[in-house]
Amino acid sequence: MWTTLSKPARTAPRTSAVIWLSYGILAVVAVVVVLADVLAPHAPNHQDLTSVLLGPSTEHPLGTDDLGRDVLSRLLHGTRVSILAALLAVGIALVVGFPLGVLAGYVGGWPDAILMRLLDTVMAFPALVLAIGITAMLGPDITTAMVAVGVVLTPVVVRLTRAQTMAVAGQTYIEAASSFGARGVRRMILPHVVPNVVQPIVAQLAVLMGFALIAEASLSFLQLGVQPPTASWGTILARSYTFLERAPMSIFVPGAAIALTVFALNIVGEEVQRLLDPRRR
Amino acid sequence: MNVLMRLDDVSVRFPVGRRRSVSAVDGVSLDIVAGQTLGLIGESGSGKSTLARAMLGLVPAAAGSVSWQGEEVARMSRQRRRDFTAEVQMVFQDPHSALDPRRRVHQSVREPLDVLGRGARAERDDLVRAALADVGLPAHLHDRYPHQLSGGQKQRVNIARALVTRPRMLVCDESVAALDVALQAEILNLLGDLKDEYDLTVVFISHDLGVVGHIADRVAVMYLGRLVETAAADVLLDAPRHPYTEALLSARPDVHAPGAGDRIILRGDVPSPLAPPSGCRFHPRCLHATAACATETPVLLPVADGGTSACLRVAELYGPRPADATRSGTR
Repeated sequence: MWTTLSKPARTAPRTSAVIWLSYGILAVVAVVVVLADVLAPHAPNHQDLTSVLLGPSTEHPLGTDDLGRDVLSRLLHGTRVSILAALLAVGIALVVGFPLGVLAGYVGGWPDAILMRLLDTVMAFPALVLAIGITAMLGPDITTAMVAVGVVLTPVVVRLTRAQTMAVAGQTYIEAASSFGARGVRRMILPHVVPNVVQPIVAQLAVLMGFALIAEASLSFLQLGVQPPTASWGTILARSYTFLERAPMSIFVPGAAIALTVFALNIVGEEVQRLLDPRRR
Repeated sequence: MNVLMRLDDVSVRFPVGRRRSVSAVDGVSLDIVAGQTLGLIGESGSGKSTLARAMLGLVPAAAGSVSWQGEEVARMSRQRRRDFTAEVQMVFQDPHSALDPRRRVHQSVREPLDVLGRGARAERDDLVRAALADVGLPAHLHDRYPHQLSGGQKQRVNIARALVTRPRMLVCDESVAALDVALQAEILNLLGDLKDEYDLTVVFISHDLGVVGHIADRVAVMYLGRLVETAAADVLLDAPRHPYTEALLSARPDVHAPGAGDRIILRGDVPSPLAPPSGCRFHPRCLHATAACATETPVLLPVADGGTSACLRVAELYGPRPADATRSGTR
């Protein structure tokens, strides 16, 4: 009887092809965000009612939508809107959550207890439901919607940062640093705590970015986020959903963009976490 | 004798739950004489490390005082406190976790100078190189990260970091316990050499009697947060004057001994410091305990050869107290 020895699939490192593909996807997304105006063959909101719901052609590589707008141009411009919206939410979560997490984890005691109970309250809201509620009150607008998503994501960052900070604060090198008088933000938090805390946060940010992209798409799909005629991945998706029978292809384009970007973010996040490990240097 | 640091009735308590606290160190008085090596021994949980941290001011003393050259540390001005920090340094037990994994060796060693704001950048780098050379770390390792060094090399880096401020007193908290025996000897010899070179006073904490006997001039024995005996190292190893010290010594492995038959075997574990025994804290495990030991708390009193012992029956068990008791250098 023949037996073959092979590494268990779970412990095998991710092949570099997948990682490079992910870097490539993110690079393309970044280029599109910066150069959408140059790359797009048509104005994103230019209507041509004589050519609606066309299939792919040389003039319209991804066809046209129900108002005769070029889908590729809308997708390129929509990328910028979607990515910036997701960055806003993740940025808020990071800027608010990281310092609070370090504070709670390092100081402990009653500030920690109060903060954590407050965050439990925020966490009790499902992210999208809270965003829907806020936009329903303040009027549909992508900025308010994404701020709401950012607020809901904040506790995730705080909790992870706090847990990591508590682990680091118990290390001997922190005690060693205080033995020669290092204290405060400049001598203790920034040089010793933050660099040793940041590694898992980076990986988490990539996951949150994916979540925020999907949140943008969902909110825009529900007409609560990006408002027509502005293109975003969510609005293109919502529009093409209406004409699913007549132009089935155009719903896959923004869908694939979302899926691929979230996929690439997850892979790259994991890879960056690995690269940040000091034992690799 | 020039007393460098004086601990006067120092107690350290940690809160446990509500309105309860545990005394890790209870009423310890100790003089650390300039130029001497003081060995501090005791079982795990006896409060040795906490006492070391109290010496450096890393944990506040709940009662009593620590004074440095006659000045109470807790009342020092900010500036004096900085000087004190530079003059008393510590080498920690685990050489690996005492170094920030994200800093290169020379960055870690330079940090005390950065924090204390000493000299210009170039001067600091020179001091760092000198300190690393003094502990015998080859120059090509100065830019490495801690995980790229061996345990012995890491402990050398820790010692270099403690010495870079030119301290007068070095507290070594189980500094060789995490190393294998060959490395222990190497690091101990290094510490001995550096003690002469840097004119250091050393407090050496260990649970290893062999190590302490090798390196220390004087030894203080702790049990459950209290000092039970102090004596010159050779006197203590030869003729202990406290039942606990006696038991510790008899527990030493000795291949030349005729047998373990006459070994003193302590029964039970160290009692919880949350509820320390009344009277003499050692009495539940002591072979010589009497009814009085459970009610009366012994204090450290001078015995022969300049030592002190906290045992109610010290005179009966180990001979009469010397007439000129005040001769003792340690209170």
